Amino acid sequence: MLFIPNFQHPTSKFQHLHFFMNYIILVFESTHRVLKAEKILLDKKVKFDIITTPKDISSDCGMAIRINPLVSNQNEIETLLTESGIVYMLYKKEMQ
Amino acid sequence: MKTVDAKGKLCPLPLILTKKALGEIAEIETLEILLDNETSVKNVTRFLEDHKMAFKLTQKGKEFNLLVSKTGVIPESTNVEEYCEVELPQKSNYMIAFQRDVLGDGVKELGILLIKAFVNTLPEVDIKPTSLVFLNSGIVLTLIDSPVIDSLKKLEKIGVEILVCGTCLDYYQKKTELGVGKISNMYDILDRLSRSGNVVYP
Repeated sequence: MLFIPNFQHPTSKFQHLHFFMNYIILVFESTHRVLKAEKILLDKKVKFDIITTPKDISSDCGMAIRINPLVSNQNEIETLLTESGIVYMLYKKEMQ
Repeated sequence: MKTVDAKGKLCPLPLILTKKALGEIAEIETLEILLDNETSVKNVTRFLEDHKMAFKLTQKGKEFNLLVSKTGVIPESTNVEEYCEVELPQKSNYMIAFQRDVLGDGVKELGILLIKAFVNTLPEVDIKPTSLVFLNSGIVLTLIDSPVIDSLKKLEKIGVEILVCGTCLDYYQKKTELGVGKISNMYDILDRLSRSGNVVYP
């Protein structure tokens, strides 16, 4: 299973520490995976947003899941997805 | 009296400092906030109003002085950055008419996923629409339990008008569940559609 904890985007934009909070962005390898992940999280009443994958992460027309760490528990979400065998990449994005 | 000097500081710093200071003072205490530009005043007062904090604003030359009484509570989870006013950088000349709860034609599951991403990406586009209208099954996007409710609220806060078809809310018996926008009618909706330079139908 491909699981990279706290994977940081290689470009510097995501690397330096910010004073502001970051969103957690989960990127999946297919739209079907996104739908599966969405269903798992919705069943557990987890709060998150479906977003367009930010351009700095990927130029594909992809969907991603955005988590606000002030609202939802990142560890709980990661556990739920990992237990279901869902592969994803984790990025951080500055809240705007 | 505690004083927050937010002069020369850009959003969201004045808000962060205000939130922090209000968390620190006792209920009977007064907080003084010093600001030096109107945008900051607008943002901070909106933040205070939303959290039921009583305040008095005075202006001396270019300096603003806010005296705040701690009459309300600010939840720890409040995201102050949402109160940073974003001036529309370019004049917008389009609106969006949501006629369905999906984007495009095809398998419904995909249509629902796409419409969520569409609405959640709208707050990030540079040129915001002037209005959003919601008709027929499009109204479900505006209900309290809508998956895009936060993005719609954000757009409304920065001045995007949101009109929701009253007949449709009534038909689907969802009038009491409206979570954002104004209940509207065909006159107002047609008025906006006819005035807009471009209308986007997702």
